[in-house]
Amino acid sequence: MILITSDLKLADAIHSNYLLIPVVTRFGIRFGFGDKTVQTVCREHGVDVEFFTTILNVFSHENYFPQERLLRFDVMQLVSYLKKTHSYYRTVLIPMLEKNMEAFVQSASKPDEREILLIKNFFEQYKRDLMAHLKREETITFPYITELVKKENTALLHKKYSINIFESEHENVDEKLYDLKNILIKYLQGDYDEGARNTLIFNIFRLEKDLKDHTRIEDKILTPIVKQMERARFGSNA
Amino acid sequence: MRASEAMLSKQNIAIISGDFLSGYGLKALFCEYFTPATVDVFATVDGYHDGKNSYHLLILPAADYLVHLNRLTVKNKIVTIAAAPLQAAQSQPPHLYTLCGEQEMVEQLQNILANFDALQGGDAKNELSERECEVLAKVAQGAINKEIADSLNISLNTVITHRKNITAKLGIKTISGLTVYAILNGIISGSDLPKS
Repeated sequence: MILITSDLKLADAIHSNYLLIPVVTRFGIRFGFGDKTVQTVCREHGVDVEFFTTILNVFSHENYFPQERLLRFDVMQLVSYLKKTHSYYRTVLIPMLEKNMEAFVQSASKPDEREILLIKNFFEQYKRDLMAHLKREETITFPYITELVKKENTALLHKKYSINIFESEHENVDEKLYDLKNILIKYLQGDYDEGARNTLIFNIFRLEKDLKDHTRIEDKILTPIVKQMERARFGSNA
Repeated sequence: MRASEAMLSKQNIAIISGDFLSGYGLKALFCEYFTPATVDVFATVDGYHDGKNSYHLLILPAADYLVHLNRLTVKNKIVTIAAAPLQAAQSQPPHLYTLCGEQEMVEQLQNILANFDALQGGDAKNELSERECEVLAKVAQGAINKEIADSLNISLNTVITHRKNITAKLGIKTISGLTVYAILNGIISGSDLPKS
């Protein structure tokens, strides 16, 4: 996969990695941009081109991590992007997986069979966990960051929340999705439509990949920036 | 090379190679450096199947391996040949690459033979042991490590080791995932579950 620069044609960036499609959309950029470069499209949509290319590269390259540049980003811009990603999970990816799961369950010769219900329950559990996780970030982490930025002395700062707590909460949600995938691939036997099962597994992979990159942005970009702010605010023992 | 020689003296090796020189060359190298019991060279996979088929090690071109995957008997340890080093994928058999000098080639053969026992014919053995099944059943029923240790009369550390191995073998990390697995495989019945 190529490194995405501001003078590259946006269409070429997407051809090199189609998983960037929803990421581009999250920035409010609409398709039909012809042969325009990344820079031109960003200017027309009022998007910060440096931020845009960095996010795209983080999605495309697992080890891409230009620390100095990342620490210069406006943290509210990052929070706004993360919120849009959350909304994409809520309104697009999760509803799609729900439909895929339902189609899979209905395709079984006995849709009320225990095995099928087990899988469905496990998915429901995962969904609840993910939603709760997103909500916690939106009601605690993001407001905490906003307070830090505004230098306000409000409730969350008093409760001694810190970005370290946020960091430690990340793992468990990914693990359930990994398990669900393996159960569907390796262990579930039975009579159901292969196409429905494939679509379901395929889209779980998509969600997993998107979540992984999302988490990487939170852990590798957001967390270091916020830690820097915490140090500035509370001194080195924060 | 002593160990390999001793081990190899009991081994029968089959080489499938449409390229006569490669097949013959490999055979010559095996005989010169490792003294195996027999080395037979076949031009095609069909020719191999007509033979006596009691080989311990089967070497064949990567392309043939993919095409004839289902027909190759699992009891054979399989090694594929390609011109250049392949990117290692987990489920693929080990391979030899031929674009190299004599010394490197011999080292490759040596490696294959040294890891002979580790070579998999296709089905990895990831089944749980009886003890692991017992531990899994307890985990799925919601027991914590201390309770499992007490009820099975083993140490806490042993429980932790079992749990690590279970997760590594199954590829399932969470308790709820393990519970689903345990029910799907009849290790516990749904009625064993704690009421939640």
